[in-house]
Amino acid sequence: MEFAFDPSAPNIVVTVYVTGPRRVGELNLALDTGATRTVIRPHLLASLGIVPGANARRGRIRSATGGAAAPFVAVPHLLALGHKRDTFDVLAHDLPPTVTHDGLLGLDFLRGLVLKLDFARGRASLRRSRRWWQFWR
Amino acid sequence: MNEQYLTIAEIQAKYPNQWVLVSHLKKGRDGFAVGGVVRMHTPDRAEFDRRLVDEDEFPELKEIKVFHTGKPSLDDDILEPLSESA
Repeated sequence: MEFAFDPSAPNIVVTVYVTGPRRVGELNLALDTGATRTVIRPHLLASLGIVPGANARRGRIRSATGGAAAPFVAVPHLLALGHKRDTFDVLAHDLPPTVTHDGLLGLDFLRGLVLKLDFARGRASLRRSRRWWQFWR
Repeated sequence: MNEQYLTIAEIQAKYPNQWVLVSHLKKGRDGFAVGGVVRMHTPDRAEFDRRLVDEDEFPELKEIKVFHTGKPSLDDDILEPLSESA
């Protein structure tokens, strides 16, 4: 299944579904293969009923603009590019106020899958890797 | 509350450069929202976030869409190339 994106935009924004205990949210995350972890703004997670526990594991974030620590939260279901991950750990970390998307879809979501980005057509796809006996299909 | 159904394009035109919370989503063939009812809109992300997490504000909503109606800001291309260590 292919998903459209704007190849002329500053970044590739994909629509994702995040299911929380309180409600389901349709959010926009920037596809970022430079990010090892998926990041979602904490206020959005909280609005879905997903909040870090008092003893939540924390990750250290290093970026071009400095470092920070952010808690991990387990998202019950995260659906992006046609793939769903259950009990998926994301970092609850805020982005600069001028950024107009809701977070980053990082490498941890993409691992084990085949990501294709067609900038000529503005199409993205994410599928499972084929085994050798599936190549004739 | 404004109960008027609007398409995403209509929302973008009516509330330019604002953060928008949409409920009662109508889905397109790809499964993504093509429209809904605007429940909150503001250009101020801090206010948007504060109201969004207020449990008394929208207790009945079970499915929402959140987005910014503007074009990607210049800052959007300065993504944080995150690396993470536990």
